[in-house]
Amino acid sequence: MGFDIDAVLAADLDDCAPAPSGDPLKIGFAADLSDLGGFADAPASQAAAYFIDLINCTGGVNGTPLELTIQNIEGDPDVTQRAAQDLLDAGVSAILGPPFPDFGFPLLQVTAGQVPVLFVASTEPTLSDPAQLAFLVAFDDTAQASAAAEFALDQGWTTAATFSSPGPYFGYNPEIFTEVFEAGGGTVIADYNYVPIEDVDFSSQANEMANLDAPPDVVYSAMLAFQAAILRGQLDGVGVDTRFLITDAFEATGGYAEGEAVEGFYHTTHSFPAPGSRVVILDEGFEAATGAALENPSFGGLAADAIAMVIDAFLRTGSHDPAVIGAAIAEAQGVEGVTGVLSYPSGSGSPEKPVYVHQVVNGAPSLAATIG
Amino acid sequence: MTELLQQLVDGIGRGSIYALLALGIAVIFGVMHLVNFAHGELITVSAYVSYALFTLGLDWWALVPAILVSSMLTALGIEFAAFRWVRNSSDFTMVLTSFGVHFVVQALFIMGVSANRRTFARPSWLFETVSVGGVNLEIYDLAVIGFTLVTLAGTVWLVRRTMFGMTLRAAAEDFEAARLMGVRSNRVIRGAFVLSGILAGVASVFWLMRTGQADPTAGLTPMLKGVLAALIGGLGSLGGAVLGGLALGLVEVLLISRLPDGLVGLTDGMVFVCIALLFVFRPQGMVTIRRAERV
Amino acid sequence: MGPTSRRLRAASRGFGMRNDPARHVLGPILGSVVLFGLLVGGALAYTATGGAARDDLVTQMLINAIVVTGIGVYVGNTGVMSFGHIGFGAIAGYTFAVLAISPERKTQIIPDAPFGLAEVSLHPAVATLAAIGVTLVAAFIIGLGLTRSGARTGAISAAVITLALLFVVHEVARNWTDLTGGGRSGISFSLGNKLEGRTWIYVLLFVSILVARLFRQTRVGRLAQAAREDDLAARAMGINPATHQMVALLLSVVIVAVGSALRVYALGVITPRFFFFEYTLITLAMLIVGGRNSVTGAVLGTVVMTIGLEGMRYVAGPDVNVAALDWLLRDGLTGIFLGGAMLGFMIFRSSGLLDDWELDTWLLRLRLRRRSERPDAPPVAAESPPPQASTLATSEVTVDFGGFRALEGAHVAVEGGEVVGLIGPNGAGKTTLLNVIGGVVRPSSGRCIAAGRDLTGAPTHVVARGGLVRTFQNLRLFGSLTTQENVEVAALVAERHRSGRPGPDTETLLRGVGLWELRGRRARELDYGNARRLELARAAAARPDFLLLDEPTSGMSDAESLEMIHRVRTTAAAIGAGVLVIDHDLNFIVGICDRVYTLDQGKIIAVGTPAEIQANPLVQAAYLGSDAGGHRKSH
Repeated sequence: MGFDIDAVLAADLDDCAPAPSGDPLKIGFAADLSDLGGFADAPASQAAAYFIDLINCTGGVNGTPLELTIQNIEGDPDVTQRAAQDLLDAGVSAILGPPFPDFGFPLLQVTAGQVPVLFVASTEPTLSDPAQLAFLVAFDDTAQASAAAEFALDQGWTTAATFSSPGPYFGYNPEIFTEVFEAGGGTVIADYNYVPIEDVDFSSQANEMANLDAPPDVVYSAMLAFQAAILRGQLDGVGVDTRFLITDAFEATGGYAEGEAVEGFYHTTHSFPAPGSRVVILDEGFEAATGAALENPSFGGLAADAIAMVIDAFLRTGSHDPAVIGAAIAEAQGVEGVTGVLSYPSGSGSPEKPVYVHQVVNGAPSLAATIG
Repeated sequence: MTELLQQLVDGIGRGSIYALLALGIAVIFGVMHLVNFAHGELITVSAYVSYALFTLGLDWWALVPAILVSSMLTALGIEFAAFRWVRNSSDFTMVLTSFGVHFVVQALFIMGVSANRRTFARPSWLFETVSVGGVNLEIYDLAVIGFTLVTLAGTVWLVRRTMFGMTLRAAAEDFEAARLMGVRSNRVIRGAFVLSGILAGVASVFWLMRTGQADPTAGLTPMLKGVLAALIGGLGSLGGAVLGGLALGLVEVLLISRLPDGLVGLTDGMVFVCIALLFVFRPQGMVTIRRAERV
Repeated sequence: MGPTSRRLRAASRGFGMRNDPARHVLGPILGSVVLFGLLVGGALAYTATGGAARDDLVTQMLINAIVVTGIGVYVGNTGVMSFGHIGFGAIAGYTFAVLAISPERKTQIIPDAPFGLAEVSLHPAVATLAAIGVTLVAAFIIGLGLTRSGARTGAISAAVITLALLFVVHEVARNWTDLTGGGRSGISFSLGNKLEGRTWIYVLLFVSILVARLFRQTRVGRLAQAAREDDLAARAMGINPATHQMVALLLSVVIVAVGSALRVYALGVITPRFFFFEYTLITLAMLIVGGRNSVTGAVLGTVVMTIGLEGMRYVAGPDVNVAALDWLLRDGLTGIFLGGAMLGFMIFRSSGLLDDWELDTWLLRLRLRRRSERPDAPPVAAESPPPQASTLATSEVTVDFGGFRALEGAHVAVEGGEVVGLIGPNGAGKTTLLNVIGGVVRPSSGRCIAAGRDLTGAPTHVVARGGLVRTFQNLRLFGSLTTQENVEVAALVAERHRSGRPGPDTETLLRGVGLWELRGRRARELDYGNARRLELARAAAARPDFLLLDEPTSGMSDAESLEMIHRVRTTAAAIGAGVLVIDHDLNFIVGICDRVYTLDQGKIIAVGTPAEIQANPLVQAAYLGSDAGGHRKSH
């Protein structure tokens, strides 16, 4: 018997099968619940706990119960290492990791390749390393920026402007986008610098763009939703009419809550909430069970994906041994998860999975394309 | 030329908010020698008040008075809960107290609301722009500049024409002497916090109109800008704080468009270095404060 | 005696630890050993009873103890606010990481590192030394800036400059991605290469504690502490705080650099965030909670905060199932604790748990209660040098404050061994004249010559070393130093800069003013009269040629004034110094002075013996005029 994710998602917590009694499969979550990583790990840890309840409710995995331990790493590298050590001491078979490499790397220093770590919400390519049993569950930035560029080319857009800030994510995404976009025949006509998270006034950049001969077909950036909204408003103000294509940061930082200000925006994301899709079932089930919706359904889905990956490896090996499970995760192929079907290409810890391009239409996501 | 003019307008728009924040910091420094690193908490609180009222369905017309009042009350509350008790302590103690306030307020919002950011709507007219002779004037910038001028005029009236203002000025000009004359009374300090709360409230209104965000660290960036501006102005000097704010806004705009790629992230650092050099060579800042040391 | 051994002797004298080795050398060593033993013993007991996470906690705590001790060396001894030490830590941490991480790893994470650093491969110990070197250079430059800005206790400029350092280092680290790996990835050791085991941490922690503790007792440390207590008074004793602050800064930065390199080594990773605001405030909180003026306090604060924060983490963690915690408390608990601890201590006990209490002073007090049988007695002139054949003279001194002329052509002369008074109504310019002589106020014109040396406009500490030492009208003692230490500090300066003039020792001076029994009392706890007497003894300990006394009897009763006359005379005679004394109290001036100058409206209007002055109609007019509340206008 395998693991039927749809049956699990359909489980009713008020009407459970007899509790499984075997030796539990322990999973740890080193979650960053501080103001840094809380946007991802708060919903992710809630969803993970709920998902595990569902699994145990359906009799566990082949009779093996699952046990989740959540440790808050508090956005502090020292605490991260202690939390990781606590999880190791608790004998977990796998650890779900935080979104930022600031804490992901200290975590890996402790697990030291002995226990698999699945970074739930991170898209940082440098965190993926099967040799260290370090895996991403989300697509990485290389994949999402490439997908964005492909999408832009597919739409027939030929010119783009990027907003970037040197370094990972905010700089790396625009860099990859530019590479792929130009290789496909497009032109990036300008790159503007800004300070991620902090800047709230883009009038200088807007005025510079107003002086371009023609506005670009699209603006690509990894900026947060509220920054993109301000930029859009200021560009409108100076009469620059263009499209916006943003990374997954858009959804993570409350893009839809921006309402009118981001109408028409495109962004790359981890899941699409189609009616009847697993993301929606998970989200609705969570809300029904706890009374509150997940703050961000995508991260809930990714957390469930990470657990599904561990279960898949456990089923294939029948082992609780973290090293064995880790080795099996590295070879995962076609694992049914909540956000899609996940496979690790040989030698890579970044999953092959679809990138969903959303467009904000009437304040709600509409699927513009599925890439990969 | 148009470009420079454009940047001038952008810079003054930015700088006006900084000026209001810096003024609030300078007022407090004047009466009790405290560099208030908790000034940003007033904006954080305002942000959550805005968010709360928005979820109740209110709009900006109701928000503005609510922000002003809550900011003022928060300033008083912080004075009452923390700064009152360290009033006669060393500068070191007071600065660390303000950091303590910052930590506690931030943690309270993480506990009580969420670590996650909350979003509310910006006013509809926010990004409307009029073009005058090739220069794009944002209505928002004009509003900021206009209301800042009104607020500053009010402050000038308060400082020049009222008894409270005179004691405030006396304290700012010669802290020691004013203290010896008994100026450091409860009332003046409380008054200074009320004033700094209202100034931060006005700044909050405009800052939040633009960001439309509430999160536990919402006040961090504006606080930093305000402190930088106040430092440029010489900390205790009220006029200097306003000039410092405008100067900071202009410098930022000029640096953003002129710095080579990859150095934009260093803007704050460069401003900080300049301020540090100012303090190395003129320890009293740009506007000299007269302080005779009694020997 | 060969030149080498002479140099050695000079060096040990230079450290200022020669006198009373039990207090200055053996005690601190013993105290450091005990402190280290308690810390490590407690830590081992804790780790023996729990999982491996406890080992991590102890490792981090011991490393933090090094960093906090390092910060304390500067902040504690000099009183200067620094928010920049973690910025130095970042410099050290990155230098260490870039040099110590293996080339194979670097070609993966920072292949474009400048200066060929990607190929460099150094042993961690060597990398640490390099980190210390680089950080020292940065600290030296910042130190010059701090000196130029007039850094002293409570100076805002120092806070600003150090804060700027913290920000700039952070922003450079975030943006110089080729070297630092940038904002979020940072740079990390390949797996299994980070520091395991605590041997090096033990060694370096012990050395840090020992060095920090001994530094407090060195000449430099003690003079820095004096300047911390009162910058101007320290200068007036001949201390130049800039030198001592610089030494303290460099030493503290070395310790912080060591701690930071260890932190990076133990974490295995460094990103800009690790050495920024949060860590700055956590380490500062540890320092102030324990007591920033004490090494024991720095260590205790680290332990207390570590226990508190870990306790909060435990309560908020999965092992505690209290429903009430779930809906509100868990996530921000450590933040509340950190902020609350800072607030609580700042409000209720800003000097921290221990203030400047050290383990060894307590240990020593248990063992050695030194009793001296000598009686209190004025110092005997026979022990001391004969009066100096030198003259203090000012000529034609004019001082303008803005448009107000405070002094106009004022001249006084004091012969060695002579007691000269300077009287005049309020606002006549008496203290201004003393400030000119003392180098606090620079005259618009005129000269000030002592013992043939022109000291006009010289910095205060140079004037003091030139043999002119003053007291202050509004008492400026080194408040948290003991009575004895106040005098010793002045003696330390004299030992180096006034070595040509032997003088009575500390005990003699303290007995001379009747304060020997109160030698262990903090200066700020002394009553008014004793404080005045201590100022006199402290000034005398600086072995001046001339004592400049600014209203030594102000606020004293008649009986006390009479007694003061006696003390001033005997003390001055004992050190063979001339005296220039300002006072309102005519009885006092008449009783003590050989000659009296009268100053009115910035001009000397009369000179003569006390009797002549009392009879002088001009003097009477000046005093009467002033008493009548009269005609004189002041600005």
